[in-house]
Amino acid sequence: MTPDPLVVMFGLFLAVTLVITYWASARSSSSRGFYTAHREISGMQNGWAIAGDYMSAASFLGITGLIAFFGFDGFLYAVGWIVAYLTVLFVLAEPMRNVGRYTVADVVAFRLRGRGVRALTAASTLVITLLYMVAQMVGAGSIVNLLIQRIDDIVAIVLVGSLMLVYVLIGGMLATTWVQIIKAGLLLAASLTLGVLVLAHFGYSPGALFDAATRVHIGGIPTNLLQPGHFFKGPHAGLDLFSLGLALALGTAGLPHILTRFFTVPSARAARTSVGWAMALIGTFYLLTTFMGLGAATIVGPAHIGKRIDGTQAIRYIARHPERAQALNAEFGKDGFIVTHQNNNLAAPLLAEALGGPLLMAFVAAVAFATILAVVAGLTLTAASAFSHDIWYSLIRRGDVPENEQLFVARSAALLFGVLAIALSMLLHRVNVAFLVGLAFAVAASTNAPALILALTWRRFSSAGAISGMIAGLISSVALIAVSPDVMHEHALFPLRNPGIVSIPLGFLAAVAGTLVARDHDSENRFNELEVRANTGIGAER
Amino acid sequence: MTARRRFVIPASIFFALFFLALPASLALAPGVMARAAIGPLTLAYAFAFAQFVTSWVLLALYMRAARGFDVRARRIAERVQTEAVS
Repeated sequence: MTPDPLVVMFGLFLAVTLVITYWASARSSSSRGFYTAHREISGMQNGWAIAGDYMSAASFLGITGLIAFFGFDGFLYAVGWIVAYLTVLFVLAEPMRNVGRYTVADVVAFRLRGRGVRALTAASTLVITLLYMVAQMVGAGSIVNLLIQRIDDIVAIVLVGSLMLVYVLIGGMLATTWVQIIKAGLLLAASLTLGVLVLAHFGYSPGALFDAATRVHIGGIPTNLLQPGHFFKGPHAGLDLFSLGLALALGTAGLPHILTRFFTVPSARAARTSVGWAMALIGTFYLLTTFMGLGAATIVGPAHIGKRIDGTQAIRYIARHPERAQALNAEFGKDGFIVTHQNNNLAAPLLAEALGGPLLMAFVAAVAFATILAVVAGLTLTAASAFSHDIWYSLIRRGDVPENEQLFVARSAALLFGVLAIALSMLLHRVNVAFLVGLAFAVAASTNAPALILALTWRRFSSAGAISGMIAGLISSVALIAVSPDVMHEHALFPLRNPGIVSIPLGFLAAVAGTLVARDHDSENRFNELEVRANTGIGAER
Repeated sequence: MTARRRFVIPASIFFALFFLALPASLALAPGVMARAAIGPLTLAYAFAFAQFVTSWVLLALYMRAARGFDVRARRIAERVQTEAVS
């Protein structure tokens, strides 16, 4: 029996990353090493790692799938995600590096003293990372379902979860960073290969691809995928688009697992360089999603993207659905399998199969696994540092914690968080992963982003403002999602799928209102110190 | 710090308006945005691609301007250090 190419490729990735983890373990035995890799990651390395953290399975599988099924509207996510980096570049990257130590809360609490600010920042960090993490794990389940029928999705989620814990628990930030770098390289290689093959299919003429994309059959109706309005439609489409745009553009500025990456570099200049690399890599990748998505729509066809069954299973399925027997039999006769449930998360791997056969599909699937693994590792590390550094070290023990206890708490928190995320992911299936990530962005944009941006730029900003802003942002974004059409369907109390247009301004307004009600002269004085430190690095962590 | 602000504030306002113009125009004039502009490519898609270009251009401009901020920051840091020593 020849070995399965998917198993071989994924095994190779595992072997390399586990060796790195072993090498990194010796350098992660202090809390500084565990959280920030001793601040010795270079700007370029960190840029690749940020790109790795950002180009998640949700982007790769989710955006490609949304473009394949809905065309332009899916690409809007990609636009929001690249533009978002300008906020990070202009306002956050360099000051974060100079002001913070291990966590996002360090930066907010630098001038806004008080336990409430730190507790809330840590809490919103945990909520955001958990939402984001579930999206990744659901993605893992859905591709495994298709690719290796022997393994069911529950086993896959547990497998991904346990491997990720090995990286984080043993190798800390250094191993996690290198896993991200390797994975970013692999993902770009896979996307470039698919993009070039799609163009080759159309005689290297983008015009021919776009032309074909104007007549894609969706549900039997010819559809122009280059036109907007296939995903966001109905009376509230305009507001929904605006809401999504706001959440995407500001959400990155509140994503803790991206922001903590700035603590791993030696200088503000390196923080800036890393954003430069990240924007170049991420932009290239997102441009490629258009070619992959439209390629999947034109070459594979949305009707053929989904869970496949073959052999006796297919025959049994057809027998159970006599009303569609004719069409299903025709499909079975032609392809040797039938598609039972359309699932747009599978667009990228199925495009790879159509263009390069089982070997390319195995490569793309292995890359998708590696992606999920790397991103959940980064998320878990961020959640662990928020819990152990902010909640345990600063709030419960008030800074009086021996080194080995800190590390023990950080590792236990990673383990607990990992197990919780695995359990939640098992509960939530078949939700488009890009949609889930969109929600994480909405919460991030409404809570962490206002607090961070105002703390770094507004002299009068006070603790009361930070607390009221974060509470308003967190409650309104979570509550509006809970009553949105995606959760309550036709009984929805709130008409939009994305809460951003309400919850983001609410987060900012509440922050301003809280500040105006309760002035904080200490915070205003410390703003000078913050500005000097943020801009010059004087007094910053070495 | 003022030099930095002089770059960052106008640049932020520009990209915020330019980015929000995309969903705004989709909401207000969906018919226009759906029209083919460059070959089969719709105006909406062309606008979306343009967002990538402007993001990269702003990135390059900022990287160049920031070299100047670095020099100033280093000078301040050195001055503070010598004052602390003397």
